[in-house]
Parts: sequence; C-alpha cells; structure tokens
Amino acid sequence: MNQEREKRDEWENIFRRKLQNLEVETSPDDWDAIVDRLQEGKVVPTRRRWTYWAAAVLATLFIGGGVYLSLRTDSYNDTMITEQTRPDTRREVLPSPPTGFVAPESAGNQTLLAVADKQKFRQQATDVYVTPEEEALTTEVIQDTPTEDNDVETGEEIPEDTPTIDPEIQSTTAIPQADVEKPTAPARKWSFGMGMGGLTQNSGEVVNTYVLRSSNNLEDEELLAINAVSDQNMGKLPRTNIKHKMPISFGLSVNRTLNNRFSLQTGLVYSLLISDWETQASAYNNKTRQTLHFLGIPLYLSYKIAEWKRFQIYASTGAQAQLNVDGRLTVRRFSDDLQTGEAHINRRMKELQWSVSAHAGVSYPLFPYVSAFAEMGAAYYFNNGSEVETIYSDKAFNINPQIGLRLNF
Amino acid sequence: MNEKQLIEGCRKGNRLAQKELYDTYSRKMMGVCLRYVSDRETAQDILQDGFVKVFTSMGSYAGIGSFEGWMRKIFVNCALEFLRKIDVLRDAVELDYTNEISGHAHSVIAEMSANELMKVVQELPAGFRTIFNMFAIEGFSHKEISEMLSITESTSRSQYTRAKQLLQRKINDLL
Repeated sequence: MNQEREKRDEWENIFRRKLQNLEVETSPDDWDAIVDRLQEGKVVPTRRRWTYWAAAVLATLFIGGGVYLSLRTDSYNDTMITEQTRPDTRREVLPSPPTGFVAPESAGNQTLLAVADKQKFRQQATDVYVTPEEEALTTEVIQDTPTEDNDVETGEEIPEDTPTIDPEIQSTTAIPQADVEKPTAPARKWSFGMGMGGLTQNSGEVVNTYVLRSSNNLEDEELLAINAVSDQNMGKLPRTNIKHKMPISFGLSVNRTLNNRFSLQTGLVYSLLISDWETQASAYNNKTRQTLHFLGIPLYLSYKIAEWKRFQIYASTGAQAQLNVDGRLTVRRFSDDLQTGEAHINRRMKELQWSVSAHAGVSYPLFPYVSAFAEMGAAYYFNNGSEVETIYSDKAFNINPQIGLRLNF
Repeated sequence: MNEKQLIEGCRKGNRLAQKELYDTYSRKMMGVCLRYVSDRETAQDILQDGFVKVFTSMGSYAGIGSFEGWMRKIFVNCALEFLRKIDVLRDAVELDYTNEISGHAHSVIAEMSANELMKVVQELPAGFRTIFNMFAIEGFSHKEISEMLSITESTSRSQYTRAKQLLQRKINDLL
C-alpha cells in the first residue's frame, strides 16, 4: 500500500489534505439516538442473551404464580373452614344450596324460615339432593316449632299476617338473578401464564349503600324480608358494604421505538379484580366475594421527556381493551357469626371493558432488552353497560401507581 | 480526560466518557460519513451506527496504533455496509481509459475550499465516490479495496480512474 501511495500524485494529496479531517456539524439528536440504542440494543453474546431471557421468564412465573397461588389458597381455606364446620352443625336444617340458608337457633323465626325454605326447596327438588337423614332432621325441626305446625306440614296455609317470601326470589347477596345457577360449580382452574409485568395498584374503596347497581336490590329484599320478621327494628334496611380491592395486573409489554422521542407500546395484560360485598342485617349476613380475571391489550404512545444518566423520564397515553375471561362469585351466609352455607357461581362480564389512560414515569435499563419502570397514571374506564359491578364501574376514574419490568425490542 | 482515560471510561460504559469521546470525534466522523453518502440523514444513521459500534467494541481496541484511525475504520466499514445493502457497487464497470490531469488542474483544486471539494466529491456516483474515497482519502490500495468491496483489482483501478475524470470535469465546469 505504501508503494502505491507513493505513486499518488499531487492531485490526490490535495484532496486528502483537505478532506481527510474535514469536520461537519452533527445534529443534537444524534447523541440521544446513540444513547437510546446503547441502552436498548446492547450487543451481548447470544448465550448471555438467552440467560437473561430465561431469568426474566422465571422471575415472572415465580412472582405471578406466587400471587395467584396465594389468592387461590385464601379461597380454598375459606371453603375448608366451611366444610369443617358443616358436619358439626347438624342444626343446619337443609343441605347447603345457594338458596334458603336456615339458622336454626333463632327460635322466633325458625318456622317462617323453614316454610320459605321448604317452598323453595320443593321447587328445586331436581337440583338439590336431600338425604333421608337431613329430611328427617328438617321435619323434626319444623315439627318442634310450637306454632303453625299445620301450615308447615302442609305448606299451603300461611297466616295472612305472616310475612312471606316470594319463592321466586333466589337467595344470594348482590347477585343478579340471571346469574344464579346451579350452586355446584367446581372451582375452575384458570391457567395463568404471563411474561414480564407490572403491579398495578388502585385505591380500594368502601361504599356504604343499599341499592347496588344492577339487580342487587332483589337479593337484599329477600334478606330484608328474612330479617324483618324477627327483627325488632322492623323496616330498617340492611346495609351493604362494598369493598373493591386493589386490582393486580401483570403484563407483557413490548416497546417499539419510532424515533428518538416517540415509541409505541403494546402487549398483553392480565388483571385480577376482587370485590367483596357484605350485607349486614340483624339475623342473617351475606358475604360475597367476586373474583374476575381480565386479559387486556393496551396500545400506548410514549414520549421521552428527558434523560438523566441511564434514567429515562417519559409520558405516555393510550387505550386498552380488556376481556373478562373468567370469574367466580363465592357467597357465604352467616347467622350470628356462624357460617351456615356457601355457594360458588360462575360469573363473567361479557362486554369489553375499554379504558383510556395517561402515564408519566421513569425507566431504568437493568439488562439488555429489559428495563424496570415506575410510573403514575390516571385511567378512565368507560361504562360498558354490563351488570357486573367492578371497581371500574364503581369508580370510573382512578389513579394507578405502577411498577414493573418492560421488554424492549 | 485524556484519550487514554476516555478509552478506559468508555470501556467501563461510563456515559460521561462516551459523551466526551463523541464530542471530540463526532464532527470529524460526520465528515467521513458525508464523503461516502451524500444524503445527510443517511450520514446521520451511519454516524450513529458507527458510534454504537465504537462503544460496544471498545474492548477490541488493543491500544496499538492511532485510536482515531481505528475509529475511522469502523465508520468507513459502516458506510460500506450501507452501500453494499443498497447495492450501489455492483454496477462498477471496467474502463481502461486514462487521462493525465494537467498541472493547471492541480492549482485550481489547491485554491478550492474543503467544502467546495466535498461538494464535488458528493456529486460523484456512489460507486465512483466510494472507490475515490477509499483510495485517495483513506489510503487503501486497490488490492485492499477489491477485497473489501468484493470486486476485482482492475475494476477498482478503472473505477478510480473514472472517478478522477468525472471530478476533473466537474471542477472544470466550476471554472
């Protein structure tokens, strides 16, 4: 090369001298783009890259599985307690369907309750199996009642001044009538498999109200009627406390960089919504837990506001569509703090839950392709007309602090 | 920071060191990029590619020889990579026509500014421009160029000659 270079003439030397070290101004955006690429696309050996991926997936499964299992364990524990107490409390007159829970200790209203329950159970004879022993016990309890024996026996004549309960009314608390089905629905296994995600935290809320959304008042009417006959404070409305727990979300987020500042984010988000209803009346109380599983697809446009060292401050806005893939109601009835029955009912919101939201947060790259983020967001959930009540329908606008991991491609 | 400290800082991923290195060399490397591609946006892309490669492969710099020369090679390779992608080098044709450039032309280009010369070079077709840059400015031999561009040595020579003729014609047009 040197020999050839020596042959180069003056003409070439002039070009080289003038152009070799020529400096041209760069754009301020160039450095930003370089930093972005250094953070997001660090070149790492393939073997290490797979290690990172494997670690990320395992961490997600571990965290997500732990949360899910812990929630499931709580549910199983509740059921076990109920099942253990049931044999010991043979005072329970009837088997434990979702309707007609009977409290045997309240002598004043035993008969009436038995009548109401018997009427209902005759209608549900094909659905509920009553053992001969239980039938005998039922009859015995009814016959032990000092008054209205005939009425009870025949089930036909009830004094006019005795409050009666519409047999059509199916008993569960805060459950729309249409959703009350066979109570023997087993706990469904809902498969849980998600990638990296964030923990969404919504503010829980306790609402004291009597008339709930949808047809909840129907069930409360029944509870009111049951309690009214024995209640000294006749006419006093039962009080239902609603508590929506903080939704828990895990999501696989994919980030697509559009330019130095803007990027698109989408992915798949799993959300768990739990709500508790507790109807407090004088003689009987219902405790209902609603557990809904949602899968959502968000689409956000993100804007990088500033960068400090490796931290990125950003803002994003977008929309999300969530589909309720599974759900369950667990209804437990108590009498004088003694659980008298439990029922499980499938429940699902058929409508899509749409929402729009805006977030501002900070992200920090942990590994190649993986960054941690913490953000604060405000979301508005549109009314989709569903009868299923959730934190979204109760509180359409809420503030969400969110932390998690994000995959960047 | 001196050059050694800068290099060491960049090896450790120190963002401040990387920024200082960028500030020191970015304008010069942008000049390299613009000699190979006339489009400024494309040159910016190549500049960014080049610095990402510099920072991520800093460990491969052995400390022997000029650091700037090592960087410059990375940027030239990035530019060539881009040119290969758009296949501008395939149309290189062999020419055996040579024409001596007069002494008058030497004095003319000596009086021209660097920016004027740059503009003339940028007006060359991509294939000619690439070989002209590699041979006349970077100092590669035709053998090296033929290996880097996967063309024959004679093609490199003929393309260079053709590039010189075109440059001469453009400079004459300016007079």
